Amino acid sequence: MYAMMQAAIWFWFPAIALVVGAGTALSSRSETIKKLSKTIAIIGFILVLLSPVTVPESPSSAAGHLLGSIIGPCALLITGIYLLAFSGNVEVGKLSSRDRKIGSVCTFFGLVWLEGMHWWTWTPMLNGEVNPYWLVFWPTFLLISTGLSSGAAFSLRYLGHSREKESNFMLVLSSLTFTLTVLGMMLDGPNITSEMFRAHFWLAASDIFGLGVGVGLSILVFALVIWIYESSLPPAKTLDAPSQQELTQAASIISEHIGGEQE
Amino acid sequence: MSELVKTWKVIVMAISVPPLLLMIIAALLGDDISNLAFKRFGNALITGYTFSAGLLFINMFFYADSRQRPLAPLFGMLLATIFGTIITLWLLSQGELLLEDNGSTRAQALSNIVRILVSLIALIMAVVVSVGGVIVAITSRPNRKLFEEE
Repeated sequence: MYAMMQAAIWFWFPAIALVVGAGTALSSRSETIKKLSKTIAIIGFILVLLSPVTVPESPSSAAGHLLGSIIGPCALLITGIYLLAFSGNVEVGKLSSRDRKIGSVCTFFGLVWLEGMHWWTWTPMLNGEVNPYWLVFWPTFLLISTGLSSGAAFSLRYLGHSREKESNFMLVLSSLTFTLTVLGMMLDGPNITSEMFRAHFWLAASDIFGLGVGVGLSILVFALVIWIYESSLPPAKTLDAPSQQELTQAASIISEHIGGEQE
Repeated sequence: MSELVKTWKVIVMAISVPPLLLMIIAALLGDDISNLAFKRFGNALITGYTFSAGLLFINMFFYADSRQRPLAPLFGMLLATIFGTIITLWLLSQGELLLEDNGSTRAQALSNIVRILVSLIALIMAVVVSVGGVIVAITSRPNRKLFEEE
């Protein structure tokens, strides 16, 4: 009971604070509430990051450990992509060519860092074992990136106009993530064997498929609830057709405003 | 069939074919984890449903705002969320049916929630890389002339 309370105080409440705080900060119109929500979200985030230290015995704290492990490469990737995107040909707020170089370096090192977590010794390890949530994150990221990049490539080709070069770039990105996944399935890393990766690849695929079906079902229920409610409402009152007298009055008003005889 | 429908079919295929190819390769390499994969699918489905229904229940408040705050749809979505939670707990308490490496229903339910959050982070990062890649590719090209000068 004590361990459960500790996990609730040091992991679950901060996690809830992080999600609710971030959601409120994004959706609220009041500046005061926004500031308060941001503060709550930041405190929640820090406490979740610290959970492997504050509640090491809780299995959920492995998520905090993963978050701490991937925050570096993810921040580098996001910053790099942002700098690269806004130092290109944009009409407003264009960044300098120096920012472009920094962006390229950030993106490169972000990707190398993430790859090093699979292919080198930088794997997030917890109590001498690979963090179980890293084995959820990495295959899921690769699987979705492969599909989305390929979809983006074909969208650019079929929906865009003269976007072949951009489409090819996205195909290269999709091929890269595809190849990395296949290599992970065939070759052992220092901490993750190919067999382990394949098993978690299947689990990630099941996860994505299950999530898709679950979310789809809930949207269906949501639509059903609204449809049932809307169909139970009495029909809206419609106005009667205009009488001859109203039509005549309207015609006279209109005729006063067209033709320009009075001007 | 209109051109637009054909285009969307191609795009949907482009999104789904690479992951399917990866699954075929994984299957050819010969692992049998169908039991574990089924459990994971079941867990993801019920957790995804309950989690998403909860979020849509909160979203229903915004719908109610635009409809003079009716209680019926709010109550309906709350019921759908509670139904999801009860079904989730009931299915998880059926022994080996959906229990993975966790010893109890509560541990499995909490593990499912954490996993869904980790999967969401992975999804967000994948979207950042893919959409960011598209924007980088587009803005990296020199401006195109839309009209030739006369």
